[in-house]
Amino acid sequence: MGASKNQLSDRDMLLDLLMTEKYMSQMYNTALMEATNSDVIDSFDEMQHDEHENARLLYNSMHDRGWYNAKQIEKPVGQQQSALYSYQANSSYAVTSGAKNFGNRLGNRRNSAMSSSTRRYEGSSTNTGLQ
Amino acid sequence: MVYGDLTNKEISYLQDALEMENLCLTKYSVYADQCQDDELKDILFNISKNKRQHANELKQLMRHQH
Repeated sequence: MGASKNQLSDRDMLLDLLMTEKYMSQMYNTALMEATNSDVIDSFDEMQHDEHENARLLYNSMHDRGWYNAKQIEKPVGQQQSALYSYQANSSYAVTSGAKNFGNRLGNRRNSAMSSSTRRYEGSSTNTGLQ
Repeated sequence: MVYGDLTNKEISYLQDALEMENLCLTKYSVYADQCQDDELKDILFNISKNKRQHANELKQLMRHQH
């Protein structure tokens, strides 16, 4: 890189420009979300897209020169999986499953109510609800 | 300056963006000049042209609203 004392190294220049592009992209994003004039929105949109491309170019240039090593995620070795990979879909967190259980519970309660006092509910309009 | 049907927010974002694009244009030009690596020089110079386009477009947007 061989920069003199009062000069930025090539790597520091690219890093500075990359940070600037990140800031610009966020600025355009906020601006286009808050604008109403369609010409202004289109321009902000295109400019933000350009900033993405510029940032990509800068990042690739740094990466090619070994100046920006984004760490890759650790791959699991053999059978032993890292904690990150061991997560599986858990039905208790799924909204649809929760809703189904909720429905079942309602249904069970209604069924038990029906069996305990069938006559009272027979032919009643309150039975034509959900489920 | 008359900005016509632009909102206050739009005008202020256009002004901010123009200022930032001009700063960027200067940075890219200076860095392209100081850079040791010729390939990087080309990349930075090309992006500086993109910055000039942005600055001009922003000026147009502010000028054409009456």
